[in-house]
Amino acid sequence: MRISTTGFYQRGIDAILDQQSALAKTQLQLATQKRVLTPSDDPVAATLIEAFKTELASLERYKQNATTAKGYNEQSDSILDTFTTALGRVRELILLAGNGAYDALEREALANEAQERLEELVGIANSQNSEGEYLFSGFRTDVKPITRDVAGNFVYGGDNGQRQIFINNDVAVGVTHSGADVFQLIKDGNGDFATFGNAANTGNGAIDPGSVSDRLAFNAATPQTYTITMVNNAAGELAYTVFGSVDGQLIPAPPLVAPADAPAYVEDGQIVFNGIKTGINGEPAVGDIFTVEMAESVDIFTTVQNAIDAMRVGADTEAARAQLRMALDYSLESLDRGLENISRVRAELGTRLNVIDSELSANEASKVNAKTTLSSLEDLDVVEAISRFNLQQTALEAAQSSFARVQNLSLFRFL
Amino acid sequence: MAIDILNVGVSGLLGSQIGISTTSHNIANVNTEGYNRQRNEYVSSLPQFLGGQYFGSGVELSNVSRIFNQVLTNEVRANSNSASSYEAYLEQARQLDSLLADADTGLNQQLQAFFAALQGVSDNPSSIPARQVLLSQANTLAGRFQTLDNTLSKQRDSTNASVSAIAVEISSLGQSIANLNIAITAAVSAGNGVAGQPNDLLDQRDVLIDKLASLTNITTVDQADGSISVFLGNGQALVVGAVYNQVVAQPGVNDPRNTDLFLQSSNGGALIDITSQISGGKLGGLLQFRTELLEPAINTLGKVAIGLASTVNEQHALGMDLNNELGGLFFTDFNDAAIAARRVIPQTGYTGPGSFSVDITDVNNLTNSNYLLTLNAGTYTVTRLSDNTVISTFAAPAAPATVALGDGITLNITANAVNGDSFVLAPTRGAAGEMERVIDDVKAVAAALPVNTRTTTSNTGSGIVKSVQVTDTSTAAFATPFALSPPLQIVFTSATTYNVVDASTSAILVAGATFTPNQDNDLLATAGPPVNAYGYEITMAGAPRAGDSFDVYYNAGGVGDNRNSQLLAALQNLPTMDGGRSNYSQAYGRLIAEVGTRTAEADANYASSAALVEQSKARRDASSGVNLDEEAANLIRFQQAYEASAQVISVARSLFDTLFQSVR
Repeated sequence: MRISTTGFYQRGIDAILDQQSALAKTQLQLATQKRVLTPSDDPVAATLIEAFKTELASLERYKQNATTAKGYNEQSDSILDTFTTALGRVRELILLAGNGAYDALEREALANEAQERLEELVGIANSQNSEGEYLFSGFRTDVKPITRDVAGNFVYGGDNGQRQIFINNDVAVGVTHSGADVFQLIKDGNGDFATFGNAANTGNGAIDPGSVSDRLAFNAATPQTYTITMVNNAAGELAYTVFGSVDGQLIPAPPLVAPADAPAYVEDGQIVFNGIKTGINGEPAVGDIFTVEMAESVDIFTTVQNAIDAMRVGADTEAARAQLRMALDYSLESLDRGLENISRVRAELGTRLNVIDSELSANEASKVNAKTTLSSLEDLDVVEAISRFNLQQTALEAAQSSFARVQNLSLFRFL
Repeated sequence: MAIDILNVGVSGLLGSQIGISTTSHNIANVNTEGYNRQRNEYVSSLPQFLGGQYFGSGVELSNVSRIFNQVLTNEVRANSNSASSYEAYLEQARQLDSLLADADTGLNQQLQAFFAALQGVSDNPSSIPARQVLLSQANTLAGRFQTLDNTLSKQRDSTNASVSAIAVEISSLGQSIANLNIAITAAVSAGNGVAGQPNDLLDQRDVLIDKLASLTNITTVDQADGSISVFLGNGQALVVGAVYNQVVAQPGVNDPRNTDLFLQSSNGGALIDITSQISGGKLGGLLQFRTELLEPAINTLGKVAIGLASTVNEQHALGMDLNNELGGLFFTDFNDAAIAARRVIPQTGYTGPGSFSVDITDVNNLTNSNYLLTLNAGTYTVTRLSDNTVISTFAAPAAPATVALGDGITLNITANAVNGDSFVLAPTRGAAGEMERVIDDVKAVAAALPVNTRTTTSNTGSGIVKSVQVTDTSTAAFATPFALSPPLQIVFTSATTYNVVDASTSAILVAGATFTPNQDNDLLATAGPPVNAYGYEITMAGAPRAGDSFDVYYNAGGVGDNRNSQLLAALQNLPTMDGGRSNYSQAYGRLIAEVGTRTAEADANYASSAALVEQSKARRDASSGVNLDEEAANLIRFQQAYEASAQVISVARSLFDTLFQSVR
């Protein structure tokens, strides 16, 4: 077959150019260590590469979020730890004050310490984070959560908001607790109801904090205030009646008539109505009144202040001592609700920290996976590329040297 | 006899001389593009009849022919037509290919940075530095959209410029072919049909036709007088004999941003739009790139810009900023009247009366296509141009009117058009170039939600508000600044019923709505009118008891609230686009994949068609090209023949000499 001289040269040059461009591409791959230089090199892989890069970036961001969330929650936890310790001391002080052996002076000393502890508690509740945000004021992070108004009552300045941060695409964890949740919305008494003795009582009977004996009956009843009144019944015994502010006469149960049919008072005997079980000890006098009120939210600082105020009241008479005992009982019960609430919050913090920790390790694992996949999609097999480079180099050299030799062959050289 | 010998010798001498001359011509043209080697064809001269015998009388040249194979030439033209089409396409597509996915020029990196900054605000909503970072990332993101749009627009401009240049080239090639037709026809007729062909003129004309074939698809027809007629597209005459027409490039009729091609007849007359008929060649490749890749890329980018801006703006408007005000615009409002009007492109020179604008109503159903709006017999028809599907037909309403067209767009008719008018609707085109960060004040970033709730401390039950959702801040409930009108109180009348109360007047708005304890209850939706139209919802769970109440109030002072910034950040992964199938970066990723696939395809096609060009050229050259070794051999051959003929003359002379001497 004949070939044309220009075609012959052109083909030799084309072969060299082809080898050169293949070599240049391999060289670029080696220089960047990337297999896919532009999407057209492998369109399917290119789409996945973009997706994995996006995923890696969001994993990185979620890791940052999780670390931030961890910091917030750890700070809250250590603050609440200090708070619990201080509150525990207050509890001890109240217990001590209930000891009948202490006189007014000693109770005053206990009250003074408790007062200082209270200020400490308020200080702790008003903690700020490194950004100067109040930790326990909900969304209103620039407002001091716990302050006293002119009357000396504790006022919560924040709101009920709770900030959350996403630590992966679907899971958001809380990073704050509102002061309302931690300190304010704490049911007083035993958490269901609170018992009080009328200040004008003349006997030394004291009502105990009681408990719910029948949850169904308690829930079914309309929330209301119950009044237990000491009376003389038809038999002339010291007896009691129970009236509900909504339900009316409960004990003796209608159609029995009060006070004639009222049951006789038994010290430490059980008084049961509407799912509520309580009892009175000591020696109440006829006309003495005790009330059972539905539990209301009382903030923990008010509870402590109430206990302190009770300690400072003199307890010279039997009746006054009964009042003190009831006040301290009520405070202790309420304080225990507060401690329970803080334990609940701390348990929640612990759960959050667990979630964050497991999310952080899941995040790390996902990141390793994504990086591995990304690398297999995008990165160059260096060994393969180097051997390809050598092969292409050899081919180029062969093309060049054969071209140089062949072009020397011409019949004209022999003319 | 002797005289004849001399003549025979002379004819041989001349024949060899011509042979050497043709060989030299071949050698001289070894590197001439399109040169077909020439060959002398000899015949022996007519014999003399003497004494009953025929005596040979030497050699004469019958023809100088060029070795030319029309079939092989056509093959080269067809192959170079498709190869240069793929080459032009590939050259342009590669620019897009490296632009879109690159970390420095692509969109994805910046999208991630923007949403990371939103998360940063979410982590610490009252932090001014975090908000500052968000604003600057938003600026960079908008800038990236603009840069990409700008780069793509420049690429369109350069494609248009190439199209114009090629139009000029085609016209001038047509003119040259016509001129060569004249010369060839003259040469052929001068020879009166008996003489040889004007080989070198034919070669020149074939080269020009080769060039034309690499620019666009052509058909050629050989005429009896030796001229060739050339037709473009579906038979639009470029050259007929000595007559040639011009191809002119002008702004397109339907879309002035694109340069289209028109045929201008040499005898005047209207321009004929031949853009749609062009395929193949460099021109076809450029036009295909423009319609298949560049326009959709510009539109897709616009679609992502509109999607991002609209969804972020919508969510941002539901929030409350550090100044306790409702969120304003974050990015450009793409339903701004001026932008909406720019989406309707009337034909070149259209002066009215039709006046329209296009609003984006649903980014989820937005496509990257343009649409054609036509009015015929009082009925508007809207056709999606990407697949030529009619998406809407409706009778012309009384203007002004607003008509939902489907595909997430709405047409506003300010004034009706006249029957026969048509308009291109381009909802997404160029939107990326208009993407801007509108929000300027760091405090105006609405990270909080405007509604908050408070649990009354005297509550005895365990009911809790789980969440607040804000869906619409344009309702009357948000009409008064810094307050809900009215603020609400949810009051439980029993464990399973509640009243919704106006907290400012204590008027009961809804009484006795039903509550199911210990599961999520949407309080306002359950309560029904009027409170279910307030634009927000309160979700409550737990077991409240009779007498419990919850306040719902405007969240003034909620500087630490990050609920709306959480919702904004979550937009990154929500499938808000492509009919609920893609988030922003997936919608953009589709574009990258599309461009990558098309580029890879063009690359493969170019490689194979370039190989075909090489092969067909090699075949053509094998028969028509000059081989220097062959010519060297011919040189020797003719030289030797020349020497031999000279020897014949010398012998003839010595015969004469012998004769003269014998008679002296």
